[in-house]
Amino acid sequence: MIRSSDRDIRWLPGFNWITLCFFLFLYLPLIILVIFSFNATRSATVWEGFSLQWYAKAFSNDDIQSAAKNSLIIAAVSTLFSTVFATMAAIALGRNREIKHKTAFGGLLLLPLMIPEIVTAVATLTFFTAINLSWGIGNIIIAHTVFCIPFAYLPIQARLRGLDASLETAARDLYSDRKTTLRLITLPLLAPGIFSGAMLAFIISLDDFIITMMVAEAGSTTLPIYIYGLVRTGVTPEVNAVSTVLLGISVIAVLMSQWFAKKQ
Amino acid sequence: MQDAITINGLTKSYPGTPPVRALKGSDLSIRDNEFFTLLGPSGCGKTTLLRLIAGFEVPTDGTLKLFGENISKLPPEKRPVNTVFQHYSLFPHMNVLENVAYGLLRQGKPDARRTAQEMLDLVHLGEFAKRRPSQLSGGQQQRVALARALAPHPRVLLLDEPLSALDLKLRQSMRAELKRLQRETGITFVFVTHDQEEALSMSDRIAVMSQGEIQQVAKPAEIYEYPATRFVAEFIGDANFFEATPRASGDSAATYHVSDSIRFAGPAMPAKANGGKVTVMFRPEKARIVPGRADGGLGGTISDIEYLGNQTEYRVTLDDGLSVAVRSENRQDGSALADVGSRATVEVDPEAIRVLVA
Repeated sequence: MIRSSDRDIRWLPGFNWITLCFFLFLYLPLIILVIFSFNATRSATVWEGFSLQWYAKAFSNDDIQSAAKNSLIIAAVSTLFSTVFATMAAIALGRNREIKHKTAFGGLLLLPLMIPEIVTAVATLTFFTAINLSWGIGNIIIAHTVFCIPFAYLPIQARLRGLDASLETAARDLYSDRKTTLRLITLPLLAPGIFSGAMLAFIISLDDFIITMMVAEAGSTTLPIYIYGLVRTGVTPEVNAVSTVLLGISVIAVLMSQWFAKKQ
Repeated sequence: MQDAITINGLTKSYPGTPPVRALKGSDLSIRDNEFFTLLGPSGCGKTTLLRLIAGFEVPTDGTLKLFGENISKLPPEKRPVNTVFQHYSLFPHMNVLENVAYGLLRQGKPDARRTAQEMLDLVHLGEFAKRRPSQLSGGQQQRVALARALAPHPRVLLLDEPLSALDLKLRQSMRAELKRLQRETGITFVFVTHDQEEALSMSDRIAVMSQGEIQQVAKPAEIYEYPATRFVAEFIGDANFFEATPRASGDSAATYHVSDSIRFAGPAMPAKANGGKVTVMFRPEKARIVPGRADGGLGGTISDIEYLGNQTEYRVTLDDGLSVAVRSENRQDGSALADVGSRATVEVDPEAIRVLVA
C-alpha cells in the first residue's frame, strides 16, 4: 500500500529551504513594492503610515496619464487584432481539410515564442525603418499585434482541439451553411478560448518593454517605458503606485484568462 | 415506386501512398419507406457510404441520386437528409428544445418550437425540453439526437451506429423504438451497424459490406440462409466450410467431394463454378448429431462439447481429420446427447447445403 507520506516530496533534502527561497525572492519584492506604494512619506525603506497620496500624484501626472492612455490603446487594439487573427488561424489549421503542411504552419505561428525578444525587436525596428513606416503608436500596435498572435493562439487552439468536429458536421447536416455554422456553433463554443487568448494578449502587450522600447517614437511612450525612465532617476513611491496598478491589471487579466479557459 | 436512394459506381478514395479506396464503385438502390441496414466490420466502407449520402464526403467517382435527383455535388445543408450521429453530437450550449428546433429554424419553418416540442413528446422526452444535453443520460441523449434529426422531416434518415454507446438492455429497447419511429414517420431509414443481431432483427433489407465492396443485398432471412459469398456466411452466424469438387448428378442436384470419405449431396452446382473447386457450407444448427455409428452420415469422434443454454454445440473430428460443429436444441433436462470421446455420426440434409463460389 502507498502511504500518503510516500507521495509527499517534503522528504527531498533541502526542499523546505528551496521552497522558502523561491517564494521569498519572487514575492517579497512585489509585496514590498505594493506596501510602500501606500507609504505616507517618500521613503522606500521605512514605513511611516498609510496614505494614497502617491496614487493621487501618479494619476494627476500628465506624463503618466498619457503613457497609460497609450498603453491601454495599444493593448486594446493589438488584443483585438491579434485575437481575430489567432482565431482565424486556429480555425483554418484546425478545421480546413484542404490546407497542407499544417504542422509547419502551426510551428511557424508559435516560433516567435522561442525567438529572443531583443532579436525580434531589432528586426522589427530595421524593417519599419526600411519601409519608412512612421505611424506613431500605430507602429507599436502593428508590432504588438504580431507578437501577441501566438499568445492568443494557444488557448484558442487548445479549446478547438477539445471541440468535437462532429458538432459542426451535425450543424451542416441540419441545414446550416458554413457561415451559419461558424456563427451559431463554432464561435459560441470557442468563446471561452477566445476570451482567454484575448486576456493573455492584453497583458503581454501591456507589459511589453523590449520591442516597445525599440519601436516607440517620441510621443508614443508607454507605461513600462515611462516607469523605466523614472526608475533611472531613483525609485519613488510614485513608481511603486503605477507599478502596483499595472500589477493589479495583469493579475485580473490572468485570473480572467484562467477562468474563461476552464469554463465548461 | 421511385427508389429513395440510387447509387451508381460510387467510389471514394483518400489520398495516400497507395490511395485508400474506402468505397470501390458500388451500386445500390434503397427503396422508399424502407428500414435499410449497411452491415460490416469496421473499415468496410459502410460509414463512408453513409457520409457520402449525407454530403459530409465528396465522391471521387460515380453518382448518388435521391428520389431520382442527382445530389452528388450538393453540400450537406442542401440535402433533405438528416443524420443521427454515433456519439449523438448534441449542441452543448443549447438546451434540449433548442437542439431539436435547430434544423427547423435554419429551414425557416414557422412553429419550429412547437414542432420540436411535438418531436420531443414522440420520443417521450417532452418534460426535458429545458434541460442541457449534459444533464441527460446516454439513452435520453440518444432520443434527443433522434428527435433532432427527425424534426425537419427528412426524406431519408441516416443512423451511424446509434446504439453502440448504449448498454445491452437499453440497446434492445431502442431497437423496438427505432422500428416504431420508422413505421410512424414513414421515413426511409439507412442504419449503419457492425452488429449482425441488430441488423437481422430490425431491417427490411441488409447490405453486407467488406473492404469497400457490397457483398450482398437481401432480406435478413435470405442473408442468413443463402449467403452470396464466404465473407457473408462467415460474418453472419457460424458455419462449417469445406473445399469440394462438384460432380453433377441430375439437373437439380450434385455431389460435392471433399475427400475420399466425405461427400455431400446438395443442390445443383452454380453456373459460375464452371466445374472447378467450390466451397460447401452448412450452418451448425442445420445438421444433426446421432450417437454411435449410422449409415449415410459422416462418422467421427466428439472432441468437444459446449453448453450454450438453449443449444449445445458438439465439435466432431471426422475420421479423416476434418472438424465440424453441430448445434442441437437442448433436451428437457439439458443433458448432452453423447460424451466427449465417443463415436458419433453427423447427418446433413441436401437442403441444408449451400454452395459458394466467391
